[in-house]
Amino acid sequence: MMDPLLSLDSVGVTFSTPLGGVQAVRGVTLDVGHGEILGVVGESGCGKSVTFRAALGLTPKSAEVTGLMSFDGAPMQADGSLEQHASMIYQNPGAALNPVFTIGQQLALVAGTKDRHVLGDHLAAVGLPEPLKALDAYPHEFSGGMRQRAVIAFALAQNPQLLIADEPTTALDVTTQAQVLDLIKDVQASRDLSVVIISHDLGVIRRIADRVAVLYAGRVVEVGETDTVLSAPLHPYTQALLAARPELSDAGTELGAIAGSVPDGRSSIVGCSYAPRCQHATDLCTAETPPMRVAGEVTETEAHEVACVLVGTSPARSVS
Amino acid sequence: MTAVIEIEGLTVDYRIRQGGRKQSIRVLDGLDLVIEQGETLAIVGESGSGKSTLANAIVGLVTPSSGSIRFEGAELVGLKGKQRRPFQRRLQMVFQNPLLSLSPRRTIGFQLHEPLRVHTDLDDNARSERIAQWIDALELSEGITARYPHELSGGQAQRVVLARAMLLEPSVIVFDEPTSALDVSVQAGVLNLLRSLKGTTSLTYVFITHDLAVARHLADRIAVMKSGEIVELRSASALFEDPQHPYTQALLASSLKV
Repeated sequence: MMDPLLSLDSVGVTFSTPLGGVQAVRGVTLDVGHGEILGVVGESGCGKSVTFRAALGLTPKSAEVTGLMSFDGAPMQADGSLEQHASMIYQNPGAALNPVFTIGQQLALVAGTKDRHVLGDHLAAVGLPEPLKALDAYPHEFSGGMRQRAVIAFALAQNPQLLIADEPTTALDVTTQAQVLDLIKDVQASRDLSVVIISHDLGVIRRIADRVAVLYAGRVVEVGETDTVLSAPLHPYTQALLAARPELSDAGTELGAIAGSVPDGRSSIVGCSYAPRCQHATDLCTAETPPMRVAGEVTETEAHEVACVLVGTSPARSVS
Repeated sequence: MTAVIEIEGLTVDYRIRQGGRKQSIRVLDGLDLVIEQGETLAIVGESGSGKSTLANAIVGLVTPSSGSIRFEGAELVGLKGKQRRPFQRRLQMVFQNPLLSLSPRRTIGFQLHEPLRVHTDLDDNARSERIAQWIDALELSEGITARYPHELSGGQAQRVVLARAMLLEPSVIVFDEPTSALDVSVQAGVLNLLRSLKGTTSLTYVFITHDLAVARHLADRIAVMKSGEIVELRSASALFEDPQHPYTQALLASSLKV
């Protein structure tokens, strides 16, 4: 990829707890390109959110962040903050808004102006109806979808280069979810933003992401263009995630549950972290940590990379 | 097929206070629904459509303003306390968040014994035997009875709650979004389990969900709710192939595919 906007190199995050260190992120190497939407997917506890909170300097003091990060070519401190250049939106817009101030008062703080027309334009840009009236509304007067739009307006008011959306539609109804995803895609295109969308839902990723990174136990196990990764997944974990998802088209078939759970952050992992749950695991898998390797055809701009020693040795594997 | 639950003209109003004035909001408005014995009925709809209120009304957690709910022929509306108890055993509910359904201060074993103590005359040994049987059926390990809820994963906790409902041998289980707090990998296990537990028995599932794919996966029939009414009720395959109501069409169009 040509000069990424945000570049993470072996980023690790360890929380110190009374029971010892908990490794939430075990070395994530990942680039976010200019003007791309990167989807980040994985089960709870895989380090999806923590990775990007670390990049924004939002991890608590008990967390030790290691590795290298650079933004727009310039290196950042390991605990460096991207406040000036990046905004984050969260799953629950109700919790991101202060219930005792109006939308306009809160927006004025982040936008740095009290000009009602400027503030109204910010709200209009995210498709809120009657933006000037909405400035005087309190958060409880908004529906969930409208609140998430308002929060997106807050995030964009700071004119960021990077927008990190952490499960932005998980709390919303399906019809609203589709609208909010379309909105994120629209503002990305019109402002040439880079967007990271963190989700456990492959359907969300498929709908808007250009590329997808699959995280497992604090490491990237597969990354590539969304269409390639979701249509022809190579890592057994990606395949299992896809097989577990009920589809509108298949009634009553057995779903592929993944036995076991994501390894505890306190345990040290030798070899592939997915091996204990992987039905294809061999002795090779527990011997050493599989490196990320380029798989399939390498194009000039994008590569499909996977961290699995079995890929290439048994090409016939597919989602079953 | 015989009907296990017959609902007629069910109306539920919630009383609220807005700006100091008392008001009431009609959440369900004259709803009619017949649930057949042995079927899996999914109820889908957005937040605020009244699907959880319907579930709560069936198991007696909200009091209807008017209308009738008959369970195995007996009228449930108006029954209170002890009068209701014999029906309650056969009409169980499973909620979205298992950790809110379990006491954090009691062991799993205690919480599995409790419903049997309340609803049956079984002695200690017989209770333990039945619990062991269900722990096995739900693919939980025997040692789980000595543990506390916080020691369990989300999937384990939901299976404990399911075991607690199952061991009373109910004829109907009402599920309110039982898998929406779970990871998709864990959800798959719970959904598979629900299918296999039901098998070909006459157990009836009423399954509230906002996830059409989950409804499609489990249900024989699907009821689509909007603004307190059922706007479409048909077999799952017919509904997905040829949705009639514009709202059903909108729901189907906005659901995400991989």
